Amino acid sequence: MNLTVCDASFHYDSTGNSGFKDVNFSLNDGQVMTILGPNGCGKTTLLKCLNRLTELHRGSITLDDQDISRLPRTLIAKSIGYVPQLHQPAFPFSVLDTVLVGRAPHLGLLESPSQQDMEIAEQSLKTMGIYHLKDKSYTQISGGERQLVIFARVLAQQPSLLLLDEPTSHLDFGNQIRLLHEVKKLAATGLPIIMTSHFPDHVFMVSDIVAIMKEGVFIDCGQPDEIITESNMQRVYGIPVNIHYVDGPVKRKICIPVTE
Amino acid sequence: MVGVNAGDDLLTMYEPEIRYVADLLGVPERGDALIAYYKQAMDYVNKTVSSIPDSEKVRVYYAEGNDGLQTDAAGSWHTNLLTFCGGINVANVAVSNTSQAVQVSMEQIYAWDTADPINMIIIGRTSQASTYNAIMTSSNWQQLSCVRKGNVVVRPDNPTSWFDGPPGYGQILGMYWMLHTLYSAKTADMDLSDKVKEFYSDFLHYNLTQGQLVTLLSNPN
Amino acid sequence: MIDAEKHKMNNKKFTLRRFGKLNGVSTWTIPVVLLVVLFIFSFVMGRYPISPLNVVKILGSHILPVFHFNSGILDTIVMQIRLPRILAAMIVGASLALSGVSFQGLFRNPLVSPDILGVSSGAGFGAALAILLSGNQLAIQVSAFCFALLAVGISYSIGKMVKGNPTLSLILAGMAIASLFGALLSLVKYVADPVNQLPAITYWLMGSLASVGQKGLLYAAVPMLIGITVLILIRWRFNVLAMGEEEAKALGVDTGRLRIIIVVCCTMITASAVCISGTIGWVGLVIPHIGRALVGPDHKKLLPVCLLIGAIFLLLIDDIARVVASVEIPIGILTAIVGIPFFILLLRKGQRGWA
Repeated sequence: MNLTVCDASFHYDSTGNSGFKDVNFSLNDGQVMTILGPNGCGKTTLLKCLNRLTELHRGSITLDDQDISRLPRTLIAKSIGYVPQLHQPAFPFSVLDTVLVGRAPHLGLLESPSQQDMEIAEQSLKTMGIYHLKDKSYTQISGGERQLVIFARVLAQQPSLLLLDEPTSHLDFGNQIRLLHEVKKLAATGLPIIMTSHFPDHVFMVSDIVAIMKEGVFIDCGQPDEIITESNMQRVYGIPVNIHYVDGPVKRKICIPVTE
Repeated sequence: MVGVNAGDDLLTMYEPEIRYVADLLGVPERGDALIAYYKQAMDYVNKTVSSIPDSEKVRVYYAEGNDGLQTDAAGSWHTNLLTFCGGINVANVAVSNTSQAVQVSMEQIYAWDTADPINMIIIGRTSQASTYNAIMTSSNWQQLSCVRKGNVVVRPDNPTSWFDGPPGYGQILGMYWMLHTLYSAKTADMDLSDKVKEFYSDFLHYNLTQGQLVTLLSNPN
Repeated sequence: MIDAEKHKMNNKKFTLRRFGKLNGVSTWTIPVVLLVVLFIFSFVMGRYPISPLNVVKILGSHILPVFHFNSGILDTIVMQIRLPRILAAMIVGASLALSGVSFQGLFRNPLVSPDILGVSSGAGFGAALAILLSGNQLAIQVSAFCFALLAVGISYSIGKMVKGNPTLSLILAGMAIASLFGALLSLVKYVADPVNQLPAITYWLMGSLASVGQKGLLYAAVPMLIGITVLILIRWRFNVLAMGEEEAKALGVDTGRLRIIIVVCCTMITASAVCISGTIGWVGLVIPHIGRALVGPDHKKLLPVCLLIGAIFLLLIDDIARVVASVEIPIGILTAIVGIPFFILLLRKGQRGWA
């Protein structure tokens, strides 16, 4: 499946901030794209426009050559999975019930999950390696496990595209790395993934494409090794960094801030 | 004077009230005339009631509220005219404050009726026409013998209530009406229509026409 | 990352709490059987003494024309006085509980009651106004129903006009409108005749099933049953809504349309319930918590359970109200007396029902 974004623009009426302008990119199966940028640069807003949670003001977003502004919401939901930054539970649903909710786009208004939906949900839990948690209450598990549950939920949607909004925030160091590992595994199954991030190192770890965003505009877009440069990081974050290639078991570039 | 029971203090209060107003307005002769009517009524009622044995006293359920399921407890001053005129309020409910109306259920009314038949229902307070219709047409009430016999009376309220709500000088006329309603056989020597006309002309300086009289004394349809 | 052993143990504790099968019999049978038993038992209770045998004979004579029961009074009492009242208690209890749990799910807040959008306040004002204008029973019911709908309609319109989080706007608008109608009610009480009208208004506001007749029940039951049916059919969707406005939308749910459906159904069932029973509080707030303590927050199980427990609860309370003294005890007082300590108990036991 292919996602193409063409001249997309959006602005908030009140502030004029956190919007974005003239965004262009394209994504295919199995590719991981990261949108890297500081707070308030418009990356979350862009993500929300990609699955029509927010409507674009100008430009177009097409999924397999179909403009998403003309698609019914249920179809968008069947195709695009969205993991928000933070999930606030109102009630202590069990992990399984939480993941089952992911089947909603495939169920009519009067329907509830069937045995088949149950099996899909359970399979998602197994894929994320948390099947043993299925009867636990969502509020009783750790932060890292909760993030995995939300991932399992979005997998139960059986989407063709994943949107992840800062998936590693609220996670400890170890869980961050494990989560990125899962992202890589999912992409390997052919799922295209777009995520937003603050961390250049994470981009080096998992991304095939990176777009650097500042004040609503893509200032650069391409392969991480070429795009994440010391001058770009200085431009975007205003701090000097050193970028080195590390050999041995690491075999990738790393980005180190220069401190006095 | 034979006092029937406690609670008719209000009834005996009318003489000094009338005397006071007459003196205030400077018309003592009129006061005398009104008091004469009043005393005549009191004496007549007391005489008649004293001749009725307890076993023949009429049992009455005082139906209030839109559905007729509100009433005043036996012993409440709301029904003191009833007791003064020799009737019995069937609502034996134990409440601390008898001046408030109480809510009862249809079942409770049937329980009272089965223990000792209710002879009459008097309808008081709000929307009397609809309460009357509710009782007469509803199948729930039909099992009461007094309803089947049509012994349902609406309390006259013109110009002020003859019975209660609030109790006032209308009770002076109400005495004749109540006695006649409860014990019509024993009041054959009194013409209620005459008494009503007299009351209206004496107390209210108003000459009732025959048509108005009929309306006053009949149930709503 | 995960201590598998520890989690396995905790799993066991959690599952026992859920409804499942006990000795091969589904635990759903417990509330259903309880309701049926209480239903039958309620026929025997009342100020008028009727033996259980007679109750059975009377009910039997209506189900199968084989038996013939003679006494008019007993038949009237059982079929025309007790039966409508028992059915009313069950359906009103079920409606209030269902409305409460639905609103709690919609607003993602377990402290929400069915009156959050002003339905009871509107109904109270409507009834008081009708009593003030000396209306009859029917006028009071119709007025209560209409003003209940009006109050919610106004709340909803105001909520839509405000930008921002739609559920928050709705709650705020509802609070404002409830206060408005509360103020109007006070005005009516102030103006009402203290001898005749004010006691009638006060009594209506305390709630009672004493004047429920067959016709009134029939008319009110139609919207209640429609609303109940719709809510039960869409009950799984509450789980999706509970994830939050944004996430529900991302899952393809038309949250605006679902919100309207839920508000309309809950309002319909609460308004119908209130117009025949007066304002009865605490049922819509407490029963959902009992439900969550029994089956957990999954709305697929929670809504039917609340329906059953609501019916059982109010039937039990009404049985007490009509038997314990020769005067009728307003049912709203009893639900408060029972409901409030229960609620405090639930609060003390810890946050069982919500995150």
